[in-house]
Amino acid sequence: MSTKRRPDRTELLQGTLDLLILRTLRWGPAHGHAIAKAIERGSDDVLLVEQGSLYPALHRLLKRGWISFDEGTSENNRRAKFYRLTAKGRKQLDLETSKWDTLARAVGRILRPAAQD
Amino acid sequence: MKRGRRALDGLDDDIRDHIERETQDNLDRGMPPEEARRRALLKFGNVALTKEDTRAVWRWQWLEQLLQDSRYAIRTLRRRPTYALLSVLTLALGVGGTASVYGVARSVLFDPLPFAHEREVGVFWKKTDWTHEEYLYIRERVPGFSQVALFRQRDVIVREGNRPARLVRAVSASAELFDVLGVGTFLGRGFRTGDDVPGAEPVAVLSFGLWQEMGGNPSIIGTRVALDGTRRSVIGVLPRGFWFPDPAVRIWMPEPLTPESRNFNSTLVGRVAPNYDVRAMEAPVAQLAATLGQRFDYPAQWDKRQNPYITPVRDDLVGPMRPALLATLGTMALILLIGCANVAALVLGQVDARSTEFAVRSALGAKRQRLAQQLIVEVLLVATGAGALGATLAWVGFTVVTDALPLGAWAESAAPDWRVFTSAMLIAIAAALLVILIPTISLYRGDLRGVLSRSRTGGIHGRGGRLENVLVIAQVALAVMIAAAAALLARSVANLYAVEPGVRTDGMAVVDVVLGRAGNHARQEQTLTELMTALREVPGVHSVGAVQQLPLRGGGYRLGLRFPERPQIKELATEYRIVTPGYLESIGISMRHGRTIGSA
Repeated sequence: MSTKRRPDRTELLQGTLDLLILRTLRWGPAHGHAIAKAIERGSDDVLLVEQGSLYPALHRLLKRGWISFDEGTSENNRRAKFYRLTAKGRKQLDLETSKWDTLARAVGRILRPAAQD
Repeated sequence: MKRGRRALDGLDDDIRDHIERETQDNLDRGMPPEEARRRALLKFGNVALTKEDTRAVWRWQWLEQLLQDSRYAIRTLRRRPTYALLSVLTLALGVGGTASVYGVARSVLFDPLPFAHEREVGVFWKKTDWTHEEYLYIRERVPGFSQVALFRQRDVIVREGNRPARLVRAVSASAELFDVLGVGTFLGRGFRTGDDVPGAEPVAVLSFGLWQEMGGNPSIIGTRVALDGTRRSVIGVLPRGFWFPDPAVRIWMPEPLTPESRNFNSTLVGRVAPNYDVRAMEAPVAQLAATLGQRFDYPAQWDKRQNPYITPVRDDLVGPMRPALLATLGTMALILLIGCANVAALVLGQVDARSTEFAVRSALGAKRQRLAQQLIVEVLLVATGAGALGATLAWVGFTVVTDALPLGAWAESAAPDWRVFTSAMLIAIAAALLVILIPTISLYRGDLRGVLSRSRTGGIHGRGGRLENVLVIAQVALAVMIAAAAALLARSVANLYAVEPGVRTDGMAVVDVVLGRAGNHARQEQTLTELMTALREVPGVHSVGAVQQLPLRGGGYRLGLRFPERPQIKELATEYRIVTPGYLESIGISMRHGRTIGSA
């Protein structure tokens, strides 16, 4: 059950969050909050990520072996999990990205045929 | 999953940490502490649900949920014992009844007959109405059949060792019988060509059950057993589960076939030749009838040329029982349906009574699917209880059903087994799924949030009553159907009793007397006379008579009748019974004209 909807924000498509996490981790290991922030900032706050939904997604990726994590201490001296991309995850990211591009182009062409001229 | 446990380890900390970071970010932006925390929480979403979803990633979710739901359901049911008990009992009655009738019906109607390729075996028209003469004439040349056997049922007196003599159902048949039925022996051999020739060594084949009762020793082959005073060699034991033509028959003997015998008392059964279908034998059978017509002179009423047909052996043996069994099964299923509707109404009441609970859980993030699952688990639990109880009922009911239905000898072979239990459980689960249908729909349709706000303000629930109406209508419809069926049944039973059988059974006692057939005829008569004299001496006895076979006890011997002085009366054949003086008075058969049979 999601909280109240705000009209200026877009809910994520199923599976898109996984892709965004993989993309974020390309820059290096990060902990949960940092990933959430990165996704928000990266999308100019347009994409609505209910931050909680990040965690099932992270664990899904862990289960598939696309990411792994290390226990580390963060800047404020607390234990935290730092997630990082695995080789398998990198390959998956490339695959998903190209698929996404194809889809986005196709949908864009249908929605705005004039823009392609 | 080890990886999962490591990853989930510290999930609570991870989330708390996450929210604190977000709060810190908000503080850094200059928000007041309280607002900063509130915003952080809002942004994170439902913490409990997040945790559950995250754990669910690693888990056999359904199994864990099922266990959790079962535990919860047990607690719920304990808190509502009346509801639980009522539901279990209602379903158990329906399940038990249906399972017991199904158990009987299955073994009688659906179990394969103990013959090889039963579809090739058929019974000839004019059952129990063939003579040796006819059989010997057509034996080797029945078109469309590879083999045809003659048989008749009779009772024989079995004497073995010092045990009291007893009457056992037997079949006397031509040597082809076991080949026609396609059955081998468990021990020894079956009949052989020549066994049915008059003067052949008297032999007998036993059923598996009788052999077991006689000690179950394989050395029985070759020993002698006295049947009707004749000592016969036991040549074989049939396999377990074999029966023909009904399960009460336990001895098979060759019938000495004499061409002179004109006793119309045998039945013909045959196995069709390759490429013939037992359901389409009109042409060959018509040909056979024509052959018979050329050789024999039939009076019009007993004309075997009229309407010849072959009945597939399954129809012949179990056909007469099918309507009664199916009707009983149908009635039981209806009662079960009513039970389901009742329990569905109970569950619906539960959904209503617990709507606040459901609403709160929904508000806390439970999905409707999860709530429905909860309800389903609860009903399945009830159904399991009902299934277990129903199976017990079915076990007991099995005997009641076999006694109540006109199964005859079949009742002996029908015994409850584990399949009754399995079918009870399956029926219970099917019933549960039926029960849960309507409450689930109601759950999906209902406005759970609305319930919450209304109940908070003390409002009245306003759920639509359409589903309840459907239930009530269904129940009433089913009840009317059952009432009508019951009335019809009562009517048929009443009609059955209304038929005047012509005898008065009140104040009458019957003694079954078994006289050895091979004994001296004069001695038999003497025994009977002495017995009747002794009975007449008993205080309160008004009259005594004897008869070969009681009325309404089915087939006997037939005699052809001709009236030489009255040529206008057509020749006819009828069943007859040999009686003693006093019999007609004793059994209450009144005379229209003339006098009764007097003593010499």
